[in-house]
Order: sequence, then structure tokens, then C-alpha cells
Amino acid sequence: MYDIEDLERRWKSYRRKKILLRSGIATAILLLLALPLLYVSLKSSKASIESKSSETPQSKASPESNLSVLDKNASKTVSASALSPEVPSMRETKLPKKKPKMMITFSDPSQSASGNRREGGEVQMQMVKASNRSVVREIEKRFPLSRDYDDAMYLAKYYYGKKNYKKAENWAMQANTIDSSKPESWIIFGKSKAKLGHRRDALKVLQAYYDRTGNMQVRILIDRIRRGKPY
Amino acid sequence: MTHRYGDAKEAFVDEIKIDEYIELEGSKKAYKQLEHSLKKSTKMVLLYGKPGTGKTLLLNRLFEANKTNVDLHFLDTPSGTRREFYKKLFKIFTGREMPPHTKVDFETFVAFGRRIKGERKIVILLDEAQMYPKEMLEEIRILSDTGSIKFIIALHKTEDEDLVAKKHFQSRIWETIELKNADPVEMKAYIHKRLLHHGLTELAHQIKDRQMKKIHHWTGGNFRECNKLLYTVYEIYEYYDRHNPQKIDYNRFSDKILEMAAIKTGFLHV
Repeated sequence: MYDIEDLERRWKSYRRKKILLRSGIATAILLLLALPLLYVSLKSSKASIESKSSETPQSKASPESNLSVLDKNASKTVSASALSPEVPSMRETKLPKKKPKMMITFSDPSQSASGNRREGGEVQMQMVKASNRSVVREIEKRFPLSRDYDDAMYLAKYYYGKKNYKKAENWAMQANTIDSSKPESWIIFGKSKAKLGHRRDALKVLQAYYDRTGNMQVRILIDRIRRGKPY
Repeated sequence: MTHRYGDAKEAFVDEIKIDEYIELEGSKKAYKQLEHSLKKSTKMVLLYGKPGTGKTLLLNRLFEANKTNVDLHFLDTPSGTRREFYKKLFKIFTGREMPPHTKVDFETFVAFGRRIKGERKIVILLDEAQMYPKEMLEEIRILSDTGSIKFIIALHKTEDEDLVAKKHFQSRIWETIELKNADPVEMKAYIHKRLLHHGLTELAHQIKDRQMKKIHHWTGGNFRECNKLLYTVYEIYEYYDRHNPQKIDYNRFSDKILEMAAIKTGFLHV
């Protein structure tokens, strides 16, 4: 691999082109989506202009009078507000109508941040677990057809790691029925059995395998189980 | 950590390793058909598919599994000349090398085939049959007509041309088996199993589904192309691992490296 720098350069150029292409497509889609909206808004504004022009001068005058009434009211409230302590509170009561949405996110930054982090962490962990589970599910699904030693051993190790010793034992047994010569399945089987509390059975099985093969890994495991050491 | 990418690279070396045979649904079905055809009184079986679909591997497996109980012979490389082909036939028929300066004509083989009818049932696995000259294919056809020699012929199916040999043997072929490229699910299982065979479980599960889809899309589900691409992926990983480890995230399968490998192997064009 002597051309790695050239390869990196080519990859960067590929990436640039890809980004450009993607942004081009995105712009085109946005434009396509925006065009009908633009058309509708233009049509409605045209219609409103037309309706305004067809309105009578009387109807034009009335909003002005309304405004003046409003202005009067406003000036009244302003003048009243200078005296009354209730007015600021009213202003505040007006604000919360918009505020709550914002305040939820910013009310207590320290708390919400840690809360988010925790939530985010959980989500991430679940995702990792889910992807592992989906792999396990997939292997379990294909196993009856594949009858593959590696698949069975993968599942045995997975469940052993998850401390589901019953399932680990079952999968190790499956792997063993496919290929009983490999020590791996015997080891997981023995370990799972021992973890399930059947130490004597585990030792019996492992000893039988050791007598047949003289496998040192199995020998060490037998010693550890016998002495109650971690395995 | 240093050697795991080297091991992963080795997992995708494109060579015939019978003990590393990856059993997938498509090939399993084809294998069963082939094995069944050994027992039947067919004259010819045609195994075809695009290059890299696993024909040679399947023939190898069939040969290894049945060579002790069937009079089975495997001609894995095509013979360039008629003499070379006759030499191989002589060895199959007599069990001995053809003595030097001996001349055997084709009629002798045909006569031999007729003579052993009912006593022996010879099966010859012929790989890369598209490389045999037309005249030799004609002789194979005549030999199969003797009824004592069965040929299982593997040949490439190309995009543009029709199967010359299929046309040629049309009247004699009793069974045709097509090996197709893998679908995305099979391709995923293939990649997983290859890595699992080498004890690289962790690496196998780092490849996400969308990356598997990309691999399948680029390689068209062809095992040989897939081997080429993933060999290059792990070659790049190995290089970074040794010379620039900060460029690798050891916990995930990199899109960048996958794309770099695809550029290097010609699946992506810049």
C-alpha cells in the first residue's frame, strides 16, 4: 500500500463531488417544492390586492376609526399602568403565552443538560443493544438452515457474556453437536453449567473431554472450577 | 490489535480453500443438485454462472466429498492442446501416466468407453469449459454418448454472448444448474461467515447494514469482487494501523476506508 496519499487525495475529490451532487439535488428538490407554494402565495396576494381595490371608501375609513379607538384605549391603559402595579403583571401574563415553549428548554440549564445527557446516553446504549440483538436474532433465525458451528459459538459466547447461562449452555451444546472436536464449545458448556450451579456435572463433562484430548485450556478450567477460582 | 487487520485481509484472499467453504442458500441448493446428479444416469450436467459465483469452489467441494465413493475425476485446468487432453483422459481411464512417444487416437477412447459400459461409470468434472476449443467439446460430446462417461461441465455465462457450449451440447445436456450472484442477505451472511471463520467476530459486526448494501451494490453480489473489495479495505486498515493509527476508529467500520477501497479497486470512479 504505497499509494495511500494519492488514494486519500482521490477520496477527498470523490467526497467533494458527492457533497456537491447531494446539495445540488437537495436544492432542486427544495425549488420544486417551493415553486407551487410561491405560485399559491402569489395568487393569494393578487386576490387580496384585487379585493382591497374593490373595497368602498367607507369601509376604508372604518379601520382608521377603529384604530383611533384602539389608540385611545391604549393611551388609557398606558396612563393607568403608570399608577397601577397590576399592569406589569398583566404584561407578564401576556408573555407566558409565547414563553413556556422556550422556558421549558432553558428553565434550568444545568438540570436539563444533565437530563439530556442521561437520556441521550440511554438512547445510545439502547441502540447498541438493539443492533447486537438484531445480529443475534438474525443468526438465531438463520441457524436452523445454516447449522454453522461459528454461528452457534457466537450465540453461546453472546449469551454467556450476557450472563444468560441457560441459553449459553444450549448454544454451546448446538455447536458441540456440529463439531465436538473443538474445545471452545466444551469450555463454554462447562462454564455455563458451573455458573448455573451444576459444578459436578460441569467437571464431569470437562474431565471426559480432557481425558480424550489432553487439552490444556480445559485442564486449567477444571482446576479453576475445582478450586473455586474465577473463570 | 496489530495483526487483526492482517487476519481480516487473509479472510478475503481469493483462493480455493475447501475447509473455508461458506455454505449459502444458493450454493447449498446447487450442490445438492450436483450431488444428486452424480447418482443419476445423465450424460451431461451443465453448471454455469458469471465469473466469481463459486463454480470452481463447488466442483472442488463435490470432488473432495465424493472422490472415494464415485469414479470421480476433476480437470480443473483446461487443456490447450488435444494431446494434453488425451493424456489426462488416458490417466483417468487407465490410472497410469501415458508413456512417452505413445500415440493414442480418439477412437481408442471411444472404444474404451463402449467396452466399459455397465462395468464402470466415470464422472469427469470439467472446469472452465468455455476455454476448450470447439473440436475438443465435440469429442467430449461423443465420449458422453458412450454412456459410461458422464461430464459435469462448468462454464462462464457472460453478459453479451450466449452460452456457446450450452448451444453445442443442447441435445445431450440433461440438467442445467445456474449459480447466481448473491442477494444482499446472502452477501451479508458471506462476509460475516468469512470473518467469523477467522475468529474476527468483532470486525464482522462492525459492518453496518447500509455499508453491506453498498458493498452488495458495488460488487453486484459477486463473491470474487466482494473478496477484492474487502481485501483492499483491510489492507488500508492494516496500513493505517501500522503507520497512522490515529486515523482509525477501532470500534467502527469506516465509510471513508470503504470508499477508498472502492476507488482503488475501481468500483467508484473519481
